[in-house]
Amino acid sequence: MSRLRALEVVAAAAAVLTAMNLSVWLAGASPRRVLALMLAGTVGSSYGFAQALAKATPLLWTGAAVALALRAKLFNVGAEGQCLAGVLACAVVGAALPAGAPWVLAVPCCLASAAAGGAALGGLAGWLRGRFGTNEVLSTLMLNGLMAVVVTWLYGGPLRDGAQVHTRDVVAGARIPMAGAALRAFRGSGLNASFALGLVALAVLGWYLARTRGGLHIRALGSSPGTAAAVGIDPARTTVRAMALSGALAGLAGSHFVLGVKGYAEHGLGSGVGFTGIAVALLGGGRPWGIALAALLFGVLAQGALAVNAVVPSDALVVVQAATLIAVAVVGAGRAVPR
Amino acid sequence: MPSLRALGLRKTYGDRAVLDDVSITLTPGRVHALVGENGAGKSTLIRCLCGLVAADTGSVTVADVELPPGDLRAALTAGLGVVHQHFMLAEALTVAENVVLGAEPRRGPWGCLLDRAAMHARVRSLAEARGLPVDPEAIVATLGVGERQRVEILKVLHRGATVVLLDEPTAVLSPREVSGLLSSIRAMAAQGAAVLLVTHKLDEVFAVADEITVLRHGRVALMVETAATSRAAVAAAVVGDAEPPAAVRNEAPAEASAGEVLALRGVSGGGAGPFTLTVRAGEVLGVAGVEGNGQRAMLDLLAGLCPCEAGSIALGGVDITRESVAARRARGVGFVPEDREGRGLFASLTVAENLALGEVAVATRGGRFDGAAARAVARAAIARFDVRPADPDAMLSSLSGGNQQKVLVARELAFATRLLLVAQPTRGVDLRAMEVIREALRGLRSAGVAVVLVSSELDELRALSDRVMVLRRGVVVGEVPASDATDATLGGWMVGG
Repeated sequence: MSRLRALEVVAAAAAVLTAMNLSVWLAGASPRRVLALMLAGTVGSSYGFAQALAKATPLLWTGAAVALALRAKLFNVGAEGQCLAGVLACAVVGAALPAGAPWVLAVPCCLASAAAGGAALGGLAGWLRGRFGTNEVLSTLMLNGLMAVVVTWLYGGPLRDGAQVHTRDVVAGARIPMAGAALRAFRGSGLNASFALGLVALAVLGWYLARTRGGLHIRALGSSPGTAAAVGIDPARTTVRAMALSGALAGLAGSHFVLGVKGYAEHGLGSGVGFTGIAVALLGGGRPWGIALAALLFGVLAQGALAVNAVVPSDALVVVQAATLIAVAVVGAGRAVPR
Repeated sequence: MPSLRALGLRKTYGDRAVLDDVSITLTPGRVHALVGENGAGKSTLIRCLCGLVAADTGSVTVADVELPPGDLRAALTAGLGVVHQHFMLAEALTVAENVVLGAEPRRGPWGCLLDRAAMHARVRSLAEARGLPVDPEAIVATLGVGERQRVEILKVLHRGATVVLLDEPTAVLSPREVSGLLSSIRAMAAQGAAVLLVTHKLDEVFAVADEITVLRHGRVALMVETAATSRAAVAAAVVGDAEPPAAVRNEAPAEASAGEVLALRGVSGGGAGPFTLTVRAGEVLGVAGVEGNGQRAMLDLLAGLCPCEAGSIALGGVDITRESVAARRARGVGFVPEDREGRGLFASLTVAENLALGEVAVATRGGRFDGAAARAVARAAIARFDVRPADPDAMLSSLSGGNQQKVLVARELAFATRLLLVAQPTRGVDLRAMEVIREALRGLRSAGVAVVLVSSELDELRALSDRVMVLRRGVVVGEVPASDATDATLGGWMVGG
């Protein structure tokens, strides 16, 4: 790293701290106290730490989703809707399984449906792009809106479980282990096996892009579509594949909510993680470990906002999130693809 | 008194002199034609004159004021106007808005309102006075190429340019539009402007120019009054003295491999054709022509990148007219396109990945991409073509243009087991690499591969081809055995003289 780059990084970090202190001070609290509270509420306690990881879990999936599409130079802003589709598919299939289904069947079945739900939505945007040249930003954004309306209607109506405004519970065998069940210290937190699955998925994503023919084709399409066509890679087909895989990853975020935390799907479940996933992917610079770190950072900030809520409005930490993103965009020049 | 005087311009990229001691003078009321082959330095000269790039040495003076080198704004202020080959227009605005942009007529308090009436009137009268008919109120996006070009010229004139540089303005026009443009160029000169016209076409030069400058390899090869010269003399200056044929000549193709590999019957598409021709195994068909006369469309048709509108293409007796790029590649068709960055290579991937992406079987087994095998393939290619740096994991974008070209040629040669389509294989590579690439092409030929070679270098065509044919306006206008392909013959067909 050159001296100039180092200076930029230091300046960016300073800017983030300043933004944080300023926003806290404007909210009428002591910056030092807030920072202490935030640290105590996240990395300072095992429950807080587990909660931060739980908040990071869906972001691992959506961050990976956006990053994959970016390698093909496709901007998937539809991880939001694809996640909702994953939540829906996962909950419907999980509840429809026979009550005594063993976990070796039930869990893979639910994961596959979550992936399929997201892939269908992502793949549709990819097909529109490949076949008609429809801008994927537009189509995925529209599909977000569509999914939000569809799931709200389904959860409040046809899929409603009697008096509860949510879907029926998935079968017992489909639930994935909660960290609190294994570790006393994590009891009560939302952390579950989806976090570990997300880390594995990131590793697989890195391997897929670097070591498989399909991954190479996706990177080739992102590097030069004209050359890709000239060496016999079908641009339309590769676009569909990239978008479907991206959607599958976003859909798998549903595993955290449905199979882990809740056991069912309801209105609002999974909303917001798709858009934050864009920030995570950009912040992570397209590298698997970068995405994991970025997801953790956003998890800590989200949990920290809850921890300091008594002193300052949690919106103050939204300012910090924004400042972090802008600082990283300046320092990294918004690089989405590693060089 | 000259409007523009350039003295001793020199510009080098790396150790290659693109412009070497070029001086040129433009006089009010006169049209000066600038002629030369591709890569002769015409575009660089225009860029140096208008300040888009700074020359290494030499000076440009407009109306007795020396321009600071590399300062486009200063050049425009001094009265220079440039019409580039690629139009720079705001598509969503009207003709008049485009023309006055930056110097709009205003009215109202503090001039905060656009005076649309005055704007339209001004542009209409300018268009009429200069013989450039175009509707001031039309939206630019709805206009054809010829009209857009008139808008570009009006823009230049509206700014009050006294020196107008036109970079290959006729390349994009239909014949009727060309004659319209030529008469408005004459009209501009008649009203006192100094005009520099870059063109490939000698017809236009002799129709409109008062003076001619010919560039060859970055030097002024000829500078004369049009009245004092002939078409043949200019053509000779453009291509240079016929150099002796290269030492290595092709031998006749072996009898055993003389079967037809490629057969085209009435093939057309992409604005070129119809082509009816055959290429035998172990034969190199050279294709000459002024750039933009259908060479690209012809190779795209053969590679499968451009849909075939009529006719049929057969490879080894099998009809491949409707086959995809991938299917044709699987049959052993290699393609070295002219546009290296846009269609040949992947800048943000490594050298090994670039080489593997022709789907060299060893590197992609099943769904896996075997990095070790790809590196081994890359090391062999790097050694054979002396690619620098000799690192399979180097990012392609970190290589110089010449080394990138070597990577591209290496990949496609490995691929072409039956047919190689190749355009400008040695453009931008150094002498040693050029010989390596040419030698590799000869090797391919003796291995019985059919080759279609498009090149703007007549020497290269003669050195490598068995036959040379010439394309003009998308059709074949002549064909000779390489041994009879003199500059005069080919040049005559190329410019239609």
